[in-house]
Amino acid sequence: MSGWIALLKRDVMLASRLGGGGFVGVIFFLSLVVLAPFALGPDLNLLARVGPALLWIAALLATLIGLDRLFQADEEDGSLDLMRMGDMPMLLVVLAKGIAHWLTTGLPLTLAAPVLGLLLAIEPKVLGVVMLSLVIGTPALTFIGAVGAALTVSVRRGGLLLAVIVMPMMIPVMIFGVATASAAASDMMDFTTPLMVLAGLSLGSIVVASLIAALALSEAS
Amino acid sequence: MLLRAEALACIRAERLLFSGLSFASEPGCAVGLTGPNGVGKSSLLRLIAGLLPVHAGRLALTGSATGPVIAGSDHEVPLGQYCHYLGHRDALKPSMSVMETLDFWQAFLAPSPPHSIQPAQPDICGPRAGAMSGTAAQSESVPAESVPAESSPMTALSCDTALDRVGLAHLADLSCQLLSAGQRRRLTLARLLVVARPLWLLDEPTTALDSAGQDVLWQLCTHHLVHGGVIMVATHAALPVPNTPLALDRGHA
Repeated sequence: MSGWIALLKRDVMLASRLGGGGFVGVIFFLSLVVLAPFALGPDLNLLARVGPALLWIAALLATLIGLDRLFQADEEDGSLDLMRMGDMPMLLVVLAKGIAHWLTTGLPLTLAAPVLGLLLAIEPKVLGVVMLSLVIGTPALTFIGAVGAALTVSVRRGGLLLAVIVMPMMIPVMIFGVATASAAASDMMDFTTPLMVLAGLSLGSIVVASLIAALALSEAS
Repeated sequence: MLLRAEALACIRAERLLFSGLSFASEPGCAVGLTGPNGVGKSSLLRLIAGLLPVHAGRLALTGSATGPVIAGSDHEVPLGQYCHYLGHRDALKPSMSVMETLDFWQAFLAPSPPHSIQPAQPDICGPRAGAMSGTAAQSESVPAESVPAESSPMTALSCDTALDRVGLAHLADLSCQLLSAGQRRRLTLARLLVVARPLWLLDEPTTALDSAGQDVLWQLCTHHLVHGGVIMVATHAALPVPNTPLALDRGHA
């Protein structure tokens, strides 16, 4: 257990230091959302309507940043070899690295969302639900992305390949994430239903994607 | 502890590197692995470490209290957690300090099963090759039975002690980015000491080390061997520790 915590702490530390790329995702998220009002024009109704979807698209793209280095950095310098040789199952290694990635990407961009929601004229009530959907849904993005990261671990400049592999798998998460926000905005239906599905997707992908990624990493040599 | 291999075969990228390779380590002697470039020295070490699949044959690590550990094409028990693998890639992160690196690997690698090993009988494999420096010669002359328990190689050192042993104590707070190639190598040697594992797999361990660093390396190896550990070294230079040579050549393929 202490080894697992040490790995989690190391990955958070590496991501938050210079060159780690941990918070670059948040900056990218910020720039994407700030661009939207300029591109769409100052129509507040339009912005409020597409705002939650924009936040989700930006969150998805921001999560992809840095995912290609999730395992590759450790594969290149030999750290992953030592991890394969340790007695900690690869599944736990994937879990620790995934959680560290979420703590330095998904969580900060969830926290940045309210500020950006103001730019997009999203109502405070809806904004709360968008934040909730982001905090529940972004772990799914990270762990689905981890599958792609594990599959492209030995591919040079595999970032684009990774995006192509994982984006289709992220569509359901996206659908229910945005559906949660739309439901909250329309008042016509209960937003907890899509939120429950989103939570299910998230929990399911943490388990299934970790298993697949761990399998892919143990096979690579 | 002893390592025995029977009829090992290794296939990389659908090319047979070697097959029918058998060898056994002798107590107190390292296995000195030699051979031309590309013959499969590194692959053999990676195969023993469990990083490459064993295509055929089997490996046994005997002499532990828990009975022999057997790995091979028909046994899915990897030897990895009994090995230290020192390869070309040093697993150091530029943004972590020397002490942080060592702390992390100690915490990560430490919870391995307790190994207990039989003391080896030194002086079994004939005259020592090369010159030994003072400390190493001393630790060699100590009979294995009289060695106090705390100096057994199965006792891990603290990070401070290990850094001191490899001569990096004064650089503990420096980030790995600033280390020279030789200092990086010394730091990877310290990793061998902070976690106790019976089998050391060293791939060209002297690379980038100055002569003092090489002395430290061979002292550590001698200490490990005298206390019953097993070492396998792939090298092109003469080994200054007692060793049984194992020459790989293309004939094995």
